[in-house]
Amino acid sequence: MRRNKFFSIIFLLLMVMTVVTGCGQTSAGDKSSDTNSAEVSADVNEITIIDSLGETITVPYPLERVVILNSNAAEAVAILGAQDAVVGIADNTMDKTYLGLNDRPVVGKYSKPSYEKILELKPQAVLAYVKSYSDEDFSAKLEPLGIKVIKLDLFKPEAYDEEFRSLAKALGKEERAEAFLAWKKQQTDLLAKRLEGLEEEERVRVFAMYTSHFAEGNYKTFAQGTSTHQGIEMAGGINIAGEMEGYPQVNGEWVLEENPEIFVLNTSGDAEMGYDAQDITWSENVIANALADKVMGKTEACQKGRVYLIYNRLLGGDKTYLGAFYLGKWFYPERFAGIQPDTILQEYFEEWLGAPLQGIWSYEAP
Amino acid sequence: MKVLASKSNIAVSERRRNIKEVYKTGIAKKIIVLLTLIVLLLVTALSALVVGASSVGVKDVIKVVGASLLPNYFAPADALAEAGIMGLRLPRILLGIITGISLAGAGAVMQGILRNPLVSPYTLGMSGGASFGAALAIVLGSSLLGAGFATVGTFLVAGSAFLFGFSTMMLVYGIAKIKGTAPETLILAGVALGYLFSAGVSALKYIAPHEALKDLVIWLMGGLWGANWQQVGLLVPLVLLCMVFLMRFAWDINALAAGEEVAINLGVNVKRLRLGTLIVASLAASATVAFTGVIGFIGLVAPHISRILIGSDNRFLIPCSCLMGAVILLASDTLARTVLAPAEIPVGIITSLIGVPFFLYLLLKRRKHITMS
Amino acid sequence: MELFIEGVNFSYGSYPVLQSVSMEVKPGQVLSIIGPNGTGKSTLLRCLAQVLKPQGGKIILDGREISKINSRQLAKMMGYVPQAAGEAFSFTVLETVLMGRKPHLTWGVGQKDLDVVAEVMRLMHLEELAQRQLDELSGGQKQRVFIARALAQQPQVLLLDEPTASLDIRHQLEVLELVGDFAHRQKGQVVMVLHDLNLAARFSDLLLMLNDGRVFAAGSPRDVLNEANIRAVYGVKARILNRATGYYVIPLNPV
Repeated sequence: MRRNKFFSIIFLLLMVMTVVTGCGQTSAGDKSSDTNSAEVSADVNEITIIDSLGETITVPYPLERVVILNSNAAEAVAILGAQDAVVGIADNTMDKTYLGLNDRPVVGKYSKPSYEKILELKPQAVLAYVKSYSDEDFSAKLEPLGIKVIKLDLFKPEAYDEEFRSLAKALGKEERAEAFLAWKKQQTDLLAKRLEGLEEEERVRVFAMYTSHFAEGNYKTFAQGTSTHQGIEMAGGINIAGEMEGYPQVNGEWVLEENPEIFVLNTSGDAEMGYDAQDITWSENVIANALADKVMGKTEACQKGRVYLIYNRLLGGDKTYLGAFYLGKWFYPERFAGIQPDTILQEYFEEWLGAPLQGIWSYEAP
Repeated sequence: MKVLASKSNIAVSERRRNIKEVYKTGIAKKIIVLLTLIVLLLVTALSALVVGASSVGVKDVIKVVGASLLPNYFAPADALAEAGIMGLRLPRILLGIITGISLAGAGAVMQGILRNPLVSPYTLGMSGGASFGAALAIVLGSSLLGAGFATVGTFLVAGSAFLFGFSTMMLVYGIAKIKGTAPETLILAGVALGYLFSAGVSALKYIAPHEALKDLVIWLMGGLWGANWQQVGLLVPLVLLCMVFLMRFAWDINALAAGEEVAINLGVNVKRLRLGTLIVASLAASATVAFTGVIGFIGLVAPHISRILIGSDNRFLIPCSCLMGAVILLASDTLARTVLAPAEIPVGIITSLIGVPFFLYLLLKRRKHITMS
Repeated sequence: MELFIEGVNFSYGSYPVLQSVSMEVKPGQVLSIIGPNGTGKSTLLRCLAQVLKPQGGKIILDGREISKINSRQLAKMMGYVPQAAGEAFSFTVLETVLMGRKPHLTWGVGQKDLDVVAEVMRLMHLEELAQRQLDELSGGQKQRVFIARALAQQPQVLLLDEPTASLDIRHQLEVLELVGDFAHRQKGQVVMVLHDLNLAARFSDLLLMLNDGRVFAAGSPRDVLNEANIRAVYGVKARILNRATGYYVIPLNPV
């Protein structure tokens, strides 16, 4: 009996504590959202933008404290010259050393950040991808804490301009955004002009792969819905796997029979290629392996030495049009005569990111 | 009296002949099963040779094979067919056969020596160890070696997978030995280490850079697409030697099935038998898994089907399992590369799709032929 | 071909199970080891079968110490039937009996092996069952198969651990008669562990009564099975009946 009594007291105490802390939490949450709306209606502006899902979201204006989980968004923020508003980044942004954000606190893996760390940085909003690798619902975790989650992908070429405008609006950088988009349009127009009147039979047949799959002897390629596929199309090529979807692993025999004219390899390894890469030995090896491969070595592409290596981030989304210049020049050297893809890339870095161009972004055997 | 005696003598000799006949017809039946499987394997291999993602078909195969065997009588085949058949299909078919032989043969022997029908290279933690070894090589290798990884990567991954797969088996055996090689201890040790390694693989996945992660996922799925003549040249003699070695112990394994004490009384050195055959079976299985990645269920299902077909006498069970494993894996892989051609399905998906329902069926039907010790 | 045991000691760790056990069995004799539970009867049999290695003493067969005989050779001299353990995989009756030929053959099965197997299966009345799976048989049939396997080794000595456990009376008698035939007709030795004192008395030439790992009494059933011994070893008051049909122990009540 005594024991029972003891336990019931403990239980009661626990109940009371839960109720109190629970109420405390809800009331705190209410308060913060209250103060937010109060602030908005009273002295601070707020603004409504459209995210990548096409939904409207209202955020404080201009955003002055953001944590970035989306490295494409980080690059967009840098183009907009709004680095000062960044109070925290995730691991993926650290690879982009040219953004000048590496001194910011890191909140962990972009797909599984530490919510405590984010909270500690007191951001007004978090910039995230619509869908992260871990399928984690950031909104459900952060919105109750009074932190807005802005879902902007910024890696799909077709949606990029609108998403970029939304972001600029929230940061109060509309003018800079229009200037950049005008420059970007100039480049895509140039690309389109060089490909004008391209006959169907003139188009080259392309096979593209990640270098890692290639090293495994496994022909896993890029099909519809991948930015590499978009890049190939943008540069006027025919992706031989264009009828498939995603990243299908195809049979070597089929590749032999399709006999592509161009072989594009790409890598997302930051040590091997990209801004901080310096040594081209790896790139040389990849090309040499391709030429000696039991399947690829027998295709027209390798027989004629038309094997190229490009850094994945140059095809992956926000810079696809820049990558397309490299592809275009490889596909149709005459049409792209006089154009130096490196010069355009340099302009992008120097004019818009304020960083010198360096590293290895593409490679072709001399 | 004399008449009676001679009559009963006749009866005795007739009965004796009877037992001999029972034995001989039994053996003949088993040999017929084995021959049927050999024919089936040849037919499967030939069909696998003429189908594929490209239009290369029967005529091309005849041309290519003819040109390589009798160059004087056949015109040289076209380069595409030659590369497709000799460079891709044939090594892949051979790798499929030798992998099936290795996993199923090792599975049959492990089940026998550990007196446990649930044992296979997969359940004893070998696959887990090999996966961890491969993951370690992929993740650490790519970051430590950088540029060099592209050239030595495949061998490094295979080597590490082999080393970890093999030593996991030895570790499982070592742990169980401390506790007296009870079959339950072995299985539990295998399962426990399997969990440990899968946690290790998850941890490596978590810290892996993007590029390495892709490699890892592909390796873990398992497949024969990477087949080349080098692998075939290494594995065929190794696996066949291992199987011949294991076959030599067929009687000892039979005796062990009757119980450890009986085996000892029949002159079997049980400890040495267990250690020796386990090492050789693990060697064969982990060497193949190192190149093909994890291919589940062959090592478990093929021996069980064989037990139903040919009985438990290991003199016939081991070769039967080998052939059965080769047929199942080759057929599965041929499906994997043709069903959605030109896209490929990981062969592990097909073997598991066939294997899991069959295994459940076995569990439900088990009592009759297989009983847990 | 005599079998001697001299001062055999065996202990599991520091726990002594057998202490200086000695005995002697001549060809044509059946010896039964009797005694209460946990007195080391099965341990003694396992030591004889070399499944366990005694820590002291000698076991001598045909003038040779058996621990020095190689295992294959020994397998041709001693056949051992342990208490029925579960079989991992089901073999047929014929395959099981054939296993007994293991010490005699390398890989292939010869005419001689088949002759021996056929003869043994005839003796054990197993011919009709040759192709049956072991797990389809009754307890009595299985026991006959296991004894047949041991006989197929063509041993001098047959070791049996409770061969009548879980058998009905008809099968008990059948099995023990077959075992007796092996000793008396083929001049082999049989050493078995038996629980049932009446069966032991009837089918044994010698009894070895163990108590706490030591030999309490040894000799003919008449010498060993007296009221005083049974009282001392089993703690049971019993009456002994000596009839024309045999020698009987009637347990009355525990003391």
